[in-house]
Amino acid sequence: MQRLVAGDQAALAQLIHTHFSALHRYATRLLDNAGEAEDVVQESFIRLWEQAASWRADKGGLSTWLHGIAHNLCVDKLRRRREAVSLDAEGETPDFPQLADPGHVLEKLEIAEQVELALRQLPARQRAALLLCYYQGFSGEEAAEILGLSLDALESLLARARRALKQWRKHHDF
Amino acid sequence: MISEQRLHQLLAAYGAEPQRWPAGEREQARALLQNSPAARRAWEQACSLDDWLEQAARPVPPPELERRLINAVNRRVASPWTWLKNWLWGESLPQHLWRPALTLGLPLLLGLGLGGYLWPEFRTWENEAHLEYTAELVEDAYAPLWSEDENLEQGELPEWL
Repeated sequence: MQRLVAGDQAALAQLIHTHFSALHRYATRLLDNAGEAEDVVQESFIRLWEQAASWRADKGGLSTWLHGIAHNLCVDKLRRRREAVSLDAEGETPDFPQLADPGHVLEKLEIAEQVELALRQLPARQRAALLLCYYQGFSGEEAAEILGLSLDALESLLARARRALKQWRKHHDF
Repeated sequence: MISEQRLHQLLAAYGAEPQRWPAGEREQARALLQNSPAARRAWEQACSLDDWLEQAARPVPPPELERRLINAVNRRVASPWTWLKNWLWGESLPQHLWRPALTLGLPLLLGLGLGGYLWPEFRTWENEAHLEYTAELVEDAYAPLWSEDENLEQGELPEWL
């Protein structure tokens, strides 16, 4: 990080190499859009470069900090998307994609696809909490810091997400 | 010792994997799990959802994306001098070949174009047309004089010259 503060672009490339995959995975799953995820990851590293001097090791790991930046950028994109949708459809568009015949379509999916589809059905905040704790390997405290929540609020989000997934599985007989 | 209710909260939020439980409560929760059949039942139920969630595919970024991203970020954060150097010299082997050629060729073409525009007499085809036109004018102007000396031998000059 000191090299980054000193303006060393090679250090930035090294950090991108280390954190790129995890950040890309998180943004892709949260946004469900590869192009937007790529934008978010790029912008996250540019912010890292610009704000490197303000990073404090005692306030959390670099990965936590980077995920926090990426998360906020994702939230901006989701908000803009929701505004665009509500402008286009005057608020009548449902939050989740509607499948013509859910049972028929879903029973043909592999388990991995079922899980991905189920995750996409969750509201963004619940999805983010679950992704951070279950797939990105963060502890509850770190995930709460990334999302800007208290630990209690995070646990509540996680519990709601798990409950929703359980119901979804039951509903579709998975 | 944490309460059974708290253990249920941990299972409901973090699932069955103790590594996800808050470090400060982990050992106590494990001890309670061994002593409480109700807690063990809740743990087994949590395992089922965990196993299902574990099977999610992990999105893998395209292999060339990292290099593309590094280049894009470097371009955005580069100082003006670095930006100019990269623009002129390029950032990869093929670019090291064509960029300098372009860097040298562009000013040359620009110079030729600008020169041709500012000094049109340098344009050969126009110069030739201009000479032909001048020759015709001279010929027309002196035609009456030439016609008076029609009887002159080839190469002989008229008297007035």
